[in-house]
Amino acid sequence: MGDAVIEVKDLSFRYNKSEEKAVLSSLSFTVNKGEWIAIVGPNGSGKSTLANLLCGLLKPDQGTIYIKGKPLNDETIWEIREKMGVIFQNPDHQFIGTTVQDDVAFSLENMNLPYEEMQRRVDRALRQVGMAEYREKDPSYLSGGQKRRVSIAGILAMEPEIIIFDEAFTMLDPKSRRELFSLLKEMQASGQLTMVSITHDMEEAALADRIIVLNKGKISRIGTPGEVFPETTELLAPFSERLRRLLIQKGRRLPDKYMTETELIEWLWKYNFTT
Amino acid sequence: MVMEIQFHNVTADYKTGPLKKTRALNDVTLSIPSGDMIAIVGQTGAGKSSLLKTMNGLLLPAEGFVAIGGMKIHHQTDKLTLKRVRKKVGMVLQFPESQLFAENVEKDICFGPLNYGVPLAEARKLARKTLQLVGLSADILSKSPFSLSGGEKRRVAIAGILALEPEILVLDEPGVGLDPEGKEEIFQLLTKLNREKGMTILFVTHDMNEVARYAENVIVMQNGRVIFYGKKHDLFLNQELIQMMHLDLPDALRFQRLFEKKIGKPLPKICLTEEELADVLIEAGYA
Ligand SMILES: Nc1ncnc2c1ncn2[C@@H]1O[C@H](COP(=O)(O)OP(=O)(O)OP(=O)(O)O)[C@@H](O)[C@H]1O
Ligand SMILES: Nc1ncnc2c1ncn2[C@@H]1O[C@H](COP(=O)(O)OP(=O)(O)O)[C@@H](O)[C@H]1O
Ligand SMILES: [Mg+2]
Ligand SMILES: [Mg+2]
Repeated sequence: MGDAVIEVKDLSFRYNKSEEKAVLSSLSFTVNKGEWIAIVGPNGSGKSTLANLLCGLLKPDQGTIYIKGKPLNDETIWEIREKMGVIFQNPDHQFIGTTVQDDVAFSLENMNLPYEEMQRRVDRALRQVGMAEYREKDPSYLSGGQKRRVSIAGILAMEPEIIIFDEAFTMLDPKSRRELFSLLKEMQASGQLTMVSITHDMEEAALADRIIVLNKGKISRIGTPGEVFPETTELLAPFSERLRRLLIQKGRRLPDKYMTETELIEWLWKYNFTT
Repeated sequence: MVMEIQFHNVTADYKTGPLKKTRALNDVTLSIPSGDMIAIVGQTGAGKSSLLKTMNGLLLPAEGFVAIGGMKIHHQTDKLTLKRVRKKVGMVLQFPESQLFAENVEKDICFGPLNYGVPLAEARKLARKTLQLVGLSADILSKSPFSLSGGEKRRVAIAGILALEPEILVLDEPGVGLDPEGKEEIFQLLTKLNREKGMTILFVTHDMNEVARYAENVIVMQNGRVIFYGKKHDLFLNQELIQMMHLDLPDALRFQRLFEKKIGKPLPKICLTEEELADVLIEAGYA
């Protein structure tokens, strides 16, 4: 397809090259321009390893990753990094700047932007994550959630075409989370942003265009929430799906397919009319 | 022994420069009976982690004091008292597994008790006992902590704290980073410690479903102050407070509110979990 932004072909990886068992084995998938892909799967299934491969921090044993049609390798990596931001799972984000705004500005260092442009981007990113009033603060003196927001600001300031989030929305309070989501959703809806988001939160995954379920280093399912959720275990289902199953379990006759919250509410409301 | 936790006008600061301070707790007065299971919620930077740290003496009050079962934590509390406090109040930091360090699980769990002068043989017995308590089998004692799954590592880290046989356990975002199964295991464990051992448990979370499912009571913090301490139902029913504190509703109640808007009238009962909601929907004739 012409608009594939990320193409992963037959990707395999092991940390310990002498071991036979692969951490990721023969993964293939594509992410299209403007898409939001959620990656879910148990601890140790290889999600973070995949994130590290996608941004070139690890090198595949086998297979190729194409970013906007270009194979990811030593020659293309720098060019590609300008288009792609990653927010890592590791909570001990290493702050380089002595103030919050310097730290965000450091993420723009290699982009050779004029000073005014840099200032504009840093200001906006800090406002977007709600940390503008902390701009002069030393980032090492922040709470866990505040640190997380500053590291997200660093990525937003780069204005990348692709962002990979590795459990980036944990440790955020409901309000910061909501605000960040609506911002990202907006950026994505305008077609300017492609998102890959690794998460354990199924309500979050339910918002994605497609979901990839990783299990023991293999893709066990890939598809829209409607395709993926009806087949998952209870713990991996979002709220509306759990409620639908529970009502069926209690002997009620509900449609035999995944319903979003809006669809389920509509259905329950109508049911009351027809009986 | 009764281990009530009392905060008397506690104010606490972090030193952020030669002359600069950040206020983390602001005049907190609070009395927590033993055996409570409390979720602490509030926006980023509200003071949740700091509240836990003062209970464990990791952050000392600048003014006021914390009283725990006859011990007093204030700005000049001596090291010996702090050591006694830390044995009674076990603190599980955020991502506690990042502090596992020993070559095997047994040594990691024994570290705390040995540090408190427990003889080796005794400590090893404790290790076995606590491992069982957190639901892991004894054959992982000889394994390297680094070879375990995320959920197992966290349970080993918690076992290390439980080996000190605390009466109060405080945990900073204990579910973060775990898959749904691992998270469920951790909270089952906390529920068991609370119900069977009568342990007082306080945990910080941003997830209102965890509050709805596992807590009895809730503490809401804002700007270093405790704004609310009471039953979870009373919090979630107080729409004004929820809005003012920028909190969410648990999924079930959020769904219920959307549904009530659609049908134009309230359902007969407030539901915090999907089980409750399913029953109410059926009873009221909507399914
Ligand atoms: N080590 C530190 N040094 C200086 N100030 C700190 C430190 N840790 C936290 N603070 C500040 O103390 C206040 C309370 O922080 P605390 O960590 O208790 O918040 P929190 O409620 O746990 O937030 P979060 O949900 O983000 O973890 C905030 O203003 C924060 O910036
Ligand atoms: N730096 C590393 N060195 C060796 N093994 C690793 C490293 N990081 C992860 N692993 C192993 O690779 C597997 C996948 O881990 P990871 O990608 O972190 O999973 P997830 O993010 O899905 O929890 C696990 O078995 C883990 O122990
Ligand atoms: Mg990971
Ligand atoms: Mg905190």
